[in-house]
Amino acid sequence: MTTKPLLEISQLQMHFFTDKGVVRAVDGIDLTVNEGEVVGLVGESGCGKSVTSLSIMGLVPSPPGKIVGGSIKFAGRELTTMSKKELRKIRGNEISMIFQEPMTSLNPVFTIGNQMVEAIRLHTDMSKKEAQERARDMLNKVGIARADILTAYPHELSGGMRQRVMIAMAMSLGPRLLIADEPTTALDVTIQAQILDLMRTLNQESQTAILLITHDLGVVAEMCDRVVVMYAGQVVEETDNRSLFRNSHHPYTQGLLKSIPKLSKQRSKRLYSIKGNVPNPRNMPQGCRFAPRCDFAMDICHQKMPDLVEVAPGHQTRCWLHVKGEGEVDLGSSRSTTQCS
Amino acid sequence: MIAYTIRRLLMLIPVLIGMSIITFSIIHALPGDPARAVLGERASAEQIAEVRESMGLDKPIYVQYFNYIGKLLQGDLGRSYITGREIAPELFTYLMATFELAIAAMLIAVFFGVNLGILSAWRQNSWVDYSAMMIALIGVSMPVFWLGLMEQWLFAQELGWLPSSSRLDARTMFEPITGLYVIDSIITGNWAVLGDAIRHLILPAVALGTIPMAIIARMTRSSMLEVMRSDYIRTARAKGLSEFWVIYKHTLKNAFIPVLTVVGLQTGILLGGAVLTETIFSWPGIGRYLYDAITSRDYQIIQSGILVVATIFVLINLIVDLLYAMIDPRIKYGRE
Repeated sequence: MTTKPLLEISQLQMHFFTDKGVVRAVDGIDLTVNEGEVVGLVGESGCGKSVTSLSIMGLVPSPPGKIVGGSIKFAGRELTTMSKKELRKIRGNEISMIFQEPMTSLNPVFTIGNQMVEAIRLHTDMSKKEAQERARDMLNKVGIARADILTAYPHELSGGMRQRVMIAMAMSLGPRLLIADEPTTALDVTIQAQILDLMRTLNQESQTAILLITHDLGVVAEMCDRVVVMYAGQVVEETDNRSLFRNSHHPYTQGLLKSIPKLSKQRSKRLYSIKGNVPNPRNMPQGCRFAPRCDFAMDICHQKMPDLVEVAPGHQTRCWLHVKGEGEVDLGSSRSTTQCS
Repeated sequence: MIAYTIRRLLMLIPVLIGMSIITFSIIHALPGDPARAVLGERASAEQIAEVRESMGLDKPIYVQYFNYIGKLLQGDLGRSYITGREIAPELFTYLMATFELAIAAMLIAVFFGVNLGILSAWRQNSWVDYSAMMIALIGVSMPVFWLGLMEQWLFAQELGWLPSSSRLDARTMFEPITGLYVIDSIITGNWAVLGDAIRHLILPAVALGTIPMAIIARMTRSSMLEVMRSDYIRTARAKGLSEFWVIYKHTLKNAFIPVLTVVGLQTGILLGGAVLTETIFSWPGIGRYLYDAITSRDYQIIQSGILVVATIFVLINLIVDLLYAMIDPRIKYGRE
């Protein structure tokens, strides 16, 4: 696998300007996806992971959404300042996206063929026939062999089938990056496994990098090379798959891991859950955003926001416990990042 | 689909029987005597009795009704009490005039209404949206007769751009085929008449189309706004489609069902209710025909005219229902 960065997000701030105040949905996140890599973006609902993915595509409705700072670079090109027309050439072509809700993500009044051919012909100069051929090939690849699939309407397909169609559509132009926003959340467990398998195969065969957005750590363990954990609009930990499960540093990540049910444990024991709620995005805590819910919170945690520090090569965390001279543990040198909150 | 269409057509029968009974009873409950209307105030009692007998008005009301229905079933709409002419060919001519006007009005209403609605949904809460909806509000609140008179004053009298009344210039000689002059002149290749017919159509069509235009604009806006929030529109954008395709292909087709309903209802209303416009612009349409019949108590024309208009109304609704299925594949008819 190459380690050439394909997608580089740095200090991205996507804010929503509403009547009730500014919502800092994404507040200074850094995220890199290398070519051919599968990166997981993990966090609770409302932590900003979907907004991050929509920002990459330029699909955040504006107003109210606005990128107020930072940059998104794709293959060396800056996406945030790109014209709409140029961005449309990349969308669906070099970066494509699949969504959480397969039931409603396809247009109900057009056939599958129409919707796939439309995307293919938009970005290539294939004839209608060639595009249909390509669509059929892709659908075969994702395991739909129905002869009449191109003339079928979305309501004639099951949720799993529709998600396959979405994947086929997203992969039909051989994108370099696939953004998958909770692609299996709405599906049955058995179908989930099939869809994940499918995505992994496509990743290996065509070297498409995947940014997998999920709240399911099981999916992360299964799929990802690297993981970025988000909390309240910020990255709180970033590491490779292995050390996430064995050696996570941030209390939030640890909390997430502890709250996975385990078959080996006694059933009488209550499942762990992180106390409290996600902070109101209009009224974020002054210090560390996780401090009010953290079991290890110290005084400084409530007063000052910690920076993201490197605790091991390729492993970063945003926690005072891991900053030199503040916490008990001191594993790496502090990396300074500008805070714009 | 075919079975469904046939079933719907069969359902027309009870609707029409009901309609005929209602119009028949209401008309006969009205004060006033058609025989007297024909003969005038000074007619003697014997003369009136004679005319009543010849019109069949001396018979019991249910006999009159069955006589009427019996003739109707043979395709005979009866004769006018006043002029004695056969109603069917006359009614057809007037109906076609109204058709032409209503179709022109609806074309204007749909074209401007839909685009205005799209524009304001696309730029929701901007000045574009506010101005478009202001136009719609004005359109919906403006009385047709006032708009018609203003049009005549400005475009016919002051500017002299367009004729203010009737269907063709008095000097234009023309033998209609279908009765839709625009179509007829195209069929016969008579371009001078085509131009003349269109020039005469514009002002009344705009007057008649303004209210439906405004209603369609408001309906399109709200329907588009709802569809624009859906996931598949996000998918369409994620494919890299331009705004134009996202709006006119992916959003509009989904948003069109409620708009179509309004279009159908409004067309029906225009066909029967264009009296004001037809009067102002001296348009020889069905609305005026019926209005004249009512003022002169010409029972036969009223009954037959209303029945024909009701039939058309029901047929338009059937067409709208069938169009639903063409737009949205999830709507299927014929399966119980």
